Amino acid sequence: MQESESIYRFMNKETDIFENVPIMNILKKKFPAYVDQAVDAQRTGRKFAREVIAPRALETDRRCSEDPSYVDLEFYHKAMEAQIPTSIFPKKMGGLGWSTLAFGLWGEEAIAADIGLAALVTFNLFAFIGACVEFRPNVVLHIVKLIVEEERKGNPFFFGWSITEPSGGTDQEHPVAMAASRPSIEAKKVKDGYLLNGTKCFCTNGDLARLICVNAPVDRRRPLETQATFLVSTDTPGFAATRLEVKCGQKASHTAEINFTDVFVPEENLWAPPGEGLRHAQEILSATRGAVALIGLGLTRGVVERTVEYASQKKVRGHRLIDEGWVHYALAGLMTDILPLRTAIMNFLVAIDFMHVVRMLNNPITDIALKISPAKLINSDLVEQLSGLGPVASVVKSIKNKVVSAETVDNFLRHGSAVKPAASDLAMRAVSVCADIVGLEGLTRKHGIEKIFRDAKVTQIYEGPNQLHRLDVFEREVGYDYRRAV
Amino acid sequence: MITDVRFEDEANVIRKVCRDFCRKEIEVSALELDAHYDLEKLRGILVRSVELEILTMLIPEEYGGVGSSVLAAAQVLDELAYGCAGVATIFAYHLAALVALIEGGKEELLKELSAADSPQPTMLTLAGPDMEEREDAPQLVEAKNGLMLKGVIPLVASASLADRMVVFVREADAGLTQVLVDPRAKGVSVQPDEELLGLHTVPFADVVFDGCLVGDADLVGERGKAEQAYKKARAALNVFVAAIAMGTSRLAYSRAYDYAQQRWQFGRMLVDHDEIRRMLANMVTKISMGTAGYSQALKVDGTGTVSSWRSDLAKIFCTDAALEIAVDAIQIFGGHGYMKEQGLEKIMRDAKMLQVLPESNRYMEVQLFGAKG
Repeated sequence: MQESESIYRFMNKETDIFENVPIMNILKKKFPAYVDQAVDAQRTGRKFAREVIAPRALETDRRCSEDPSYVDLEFYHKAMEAQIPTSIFPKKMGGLGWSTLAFGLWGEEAIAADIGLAALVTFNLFAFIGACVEFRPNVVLHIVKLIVEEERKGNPFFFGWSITEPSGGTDQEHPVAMAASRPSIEAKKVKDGYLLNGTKCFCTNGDLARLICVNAPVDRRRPLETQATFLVSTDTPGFAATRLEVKCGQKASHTAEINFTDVFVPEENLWAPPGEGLRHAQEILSATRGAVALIGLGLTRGVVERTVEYASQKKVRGHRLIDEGWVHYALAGLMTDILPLRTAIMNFLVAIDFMHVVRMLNNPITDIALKISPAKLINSDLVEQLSGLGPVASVVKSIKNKVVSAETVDNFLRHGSAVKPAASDLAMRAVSVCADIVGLEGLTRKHGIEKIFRDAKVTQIYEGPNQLHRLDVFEREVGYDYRRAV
Repeated sequence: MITDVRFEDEANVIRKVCRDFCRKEIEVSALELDAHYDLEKLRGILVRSVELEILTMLIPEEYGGVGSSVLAAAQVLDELAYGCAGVATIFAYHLAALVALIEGGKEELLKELSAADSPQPTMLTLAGPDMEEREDAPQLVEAKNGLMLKGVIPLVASASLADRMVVFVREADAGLTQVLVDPRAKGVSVQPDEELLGLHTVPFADVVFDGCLVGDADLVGERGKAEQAYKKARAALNVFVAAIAMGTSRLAYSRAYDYAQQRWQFGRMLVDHDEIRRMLANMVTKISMGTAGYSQALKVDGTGTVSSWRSDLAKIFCTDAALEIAVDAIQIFGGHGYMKEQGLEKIMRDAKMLQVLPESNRYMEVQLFGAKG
């Protein structure tokens, strides 16, 4: 059914990136397939958001309010049919071969419709990036195969990434903070692996995940020097999701406390070795902070669009609410920030495609390998085992380290840490300004504006609080060493 | 140590009593009532408040009331809001309705309210006038057997809880009229409670008037002469909402301050980070200035009358401040602040509601100047 024309003209288009991010026109000349795919993803996302996400967002939110353990699996299945959770895997491995840009454009549309549901089907990717960061090809191949096979069979495969400690999440993302922290979790070296003991909190999908990537020090008195990263299978004895958080918003996406009691992790599931845990986390964060910026942007768009819609229908004082001058300025103040921010975030996503870990999936060598090898071979156990062999693994790792140098990661961390607070602060401002415009009647549940208000606040907190990000930017801009801070 | 930003009236007995009442009765139920609206529980709180004479505090002594000032009532609401902004808002609408009735000279009713020996207090609320010039705004219509009220008022606070409703009706030819309505009377229907962002303790609902009879006894003051009563009631409501914003802000601030003293991050206590200090200092500044602002919202003529203009300013400043304070308090708590059990996200949602009660601050700002003001 054709939706009625919106006063918001971009809402009536199938795609708007050539108008809203003009540099895409230039990029298209050089990389037509890359940009076409992104445009297509935006188009698909817009349709999916309108037809699948928006109609169920409020109902799912309500059900999760009544029962925080409710999972909208029906929705997850619809997303699986569209191959969204596996969209960024290469085509030959069973994915859609989406670039980060394409994924981001799909995501922005989904988030503008509902962040809870969007998070449910996209946050798995954070953990996948965790696997890519180490880039041991057998690990990546194994995980991709596992997820694709399960989801083809119709079984949702949730994946978690857990770094936040009960004593704080900020401490897990900065060297000075980590050195001074006393984590609850500790990994003890035993024969053929490690035993994990302790608690992590605020783990997305913690109660649903089959696999969780966990940071833990080998010596909790020296967390910075001994932090390591482990892949934990949640069916291992001793693992338990001990508590499900009852949140203000983003309820369709679960957040859990997880507990480890002598959880055995085999040696091959040690991702980052002791001492490399923070680097591993920072490398993930250097890519994902930009993604969280996308959430701020999507929420801002979502609330502005709904407010424009509401104000153009609401009659006050003999005219439409949107005809009043104060409303123009309030909304324009948000639109003028959306425009440059979207350019900055799209720029970030393109940079990830061309300069960060996903380049490993798109570089000439991988490209040729994927092109000449039949899908059957790529996805065979033999290749997975071969690629796990020492020499193969170390060659790939050294290519990866050349492709994604420490300087690159650092620069991404700076950019990501700049766009994330900018976007999340804008989201918070937008929900407040829009609530002021629509007033009491616009804040009734059915308009969805109150839900976005509840959803927005946590974007200033998760993936690290905005205060930490400002510090990360300051240190990298000035070349400042935080240890000197008084 | 700056944990207490109440800088006046520490000896004020009413305030002290209200503070104890708030601790005992409101604080303990606030989160539960936010999650599940419970009329029985709410009525229990109102019944137990009768002893404190909060509901009758504005009624002049000659009618059997306490004869307190609007500012004294605001301070009481400030105390109650420390427990729950929603519960305090129910009191605020009741007290603002009283201001309208007092100005309208409704002696009999006022006497009845203060003399009532029933354990169930008679709850009032205030509705209208329509500021949006809606087509279905209530009108008084001449009928065979007198006046009739027809129209709709959206989202009346305490609608399903109130026993009497003070309704302001604006008519193009007759001006503003104050009408007392029994929401259970024939021709009045209170629609189901609406779910809103915050203030979940307050039942908000549309009220439909479909030919409800308005007898002479139901008119408060003369028809078309209620401008003054409305102005006073609205000024009082502004001051009350401002006070509630400050009360709930004090809770957010004191929680954040306590947390900042306990939590270790980056190798030091949170409170030892300059950025956290800035936030806390900003909270105290706003609470102090806001509290001073609503406490001084008087006309300069020395009569002790609340000034419409200053009450507008206080309401805008205090409720804007409350949202900023709540958002920062959550930030200090980090992820924990976003969880229901901490109660801070409730303060944030409540604060946002206060900003649009009874009108959006942004629209109020536009109205402060110019021909319409």
